Amino acid sequence: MRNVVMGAVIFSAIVGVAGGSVASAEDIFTVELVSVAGSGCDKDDFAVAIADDLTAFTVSYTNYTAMAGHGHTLLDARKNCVLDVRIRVPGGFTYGIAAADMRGFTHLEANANASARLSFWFQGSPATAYVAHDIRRSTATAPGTLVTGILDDDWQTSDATPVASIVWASCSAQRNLNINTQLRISSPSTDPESLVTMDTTDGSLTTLFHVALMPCP
Amino acid sequence: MAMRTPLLIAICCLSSTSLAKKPPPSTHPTGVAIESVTYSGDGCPAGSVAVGLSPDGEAFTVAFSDLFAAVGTGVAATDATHHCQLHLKLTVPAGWSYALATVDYRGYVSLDEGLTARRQSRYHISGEAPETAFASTWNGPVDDSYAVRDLGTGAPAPAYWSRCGKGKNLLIDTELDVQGAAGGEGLVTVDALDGEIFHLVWQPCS
Repeated sequence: MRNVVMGAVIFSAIVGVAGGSVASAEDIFTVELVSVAGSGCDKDDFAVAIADDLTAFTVSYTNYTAMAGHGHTLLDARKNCVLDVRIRVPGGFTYGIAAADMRGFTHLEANANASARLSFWFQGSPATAYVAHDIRRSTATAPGTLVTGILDDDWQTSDATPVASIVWASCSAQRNLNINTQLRISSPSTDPESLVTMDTTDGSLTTLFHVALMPCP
Repeated sequence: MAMRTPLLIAICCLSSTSLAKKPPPSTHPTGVAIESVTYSGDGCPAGSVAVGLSPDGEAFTVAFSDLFAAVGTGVAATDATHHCQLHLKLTVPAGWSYALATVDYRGYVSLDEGLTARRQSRYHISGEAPETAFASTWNGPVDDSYAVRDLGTGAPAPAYWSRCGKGKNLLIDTELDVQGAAGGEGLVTVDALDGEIFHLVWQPCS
């Protein structure tokens, strides 16, 4: 635990030293999307951007929508996207995912529910970290604590990992990080169409991943 | 809406004992590489598979956009089973053998009561016989993500070795099917398959 805290301090110092140099900053932290596939994302349906502070990156999707209700089958009701990401960090450091945000839009009829899930793992590792959220769990016929009735709204989730629980990349092997997001929606097939998407007003869904660093032993 | 909860960490269901059996890095041959990955089958039409290779060339992930089996209203009868065969070409240095030790599968399964989903994977190192196969089965009702590991879970592991300097072609054929009571709705997917070069473990030929 002490080492983790020290790592954060050291990394901050490195960033500070490199503050005036774009080239040096890029050497500190880079993210490269190696491959992408999933029922919710084709190869041209996403974009990756690194935050200005170099400790976060954003994936934007343009065509990632799950739908249910009249005219849809169960194949429409679950969509996913697997991103294989290569992250380079300063020599002697490893990294882990410290926080993850998901955002989107949803239109839910009165008896439709939706959920989102994010999981990630390092290549070759059996350990899977995940978060799962109900975007809505209640319905008109089975009201719960969440909003009922027809819902038209943006949705957002935000998760933080305690540092002691972060899954760190291996220091001895160079492995990519895999990130699998999933949207699910349910509705009676006789109801009008409901949908959930990670879609802003311009039609893109954004997932933000914050990254933490730790020194290798 | 905004939701904030602690990020859950699941060290899920998978044994890592096989990892300890891997020879130390110093015994790894040099020049090992995955030369290419091609695929065919009704579960992986052209453009539906993405391969991510690790920087050290010893691990990779195969992600699938269209590898599923499903039954339900409006779903084509032909969707009840699909398969995808991966064909890996490996560089196998002279004087070395490799073993297929573990392969991890991650996906999603949702089944009404009365339905059963099955995932079967067959592995074949070319020139070696027989092939070896592993399977997972889920019985409805179930609705969850899953992670399962082939090979390496029994002792002794790994058990499936190439001949010395051979095994350039490695075939992995994964088949999904959903069966059971008429009228039920069921879906099983493979989102990703990955391993440390499929957890390939190398040893000098004796």
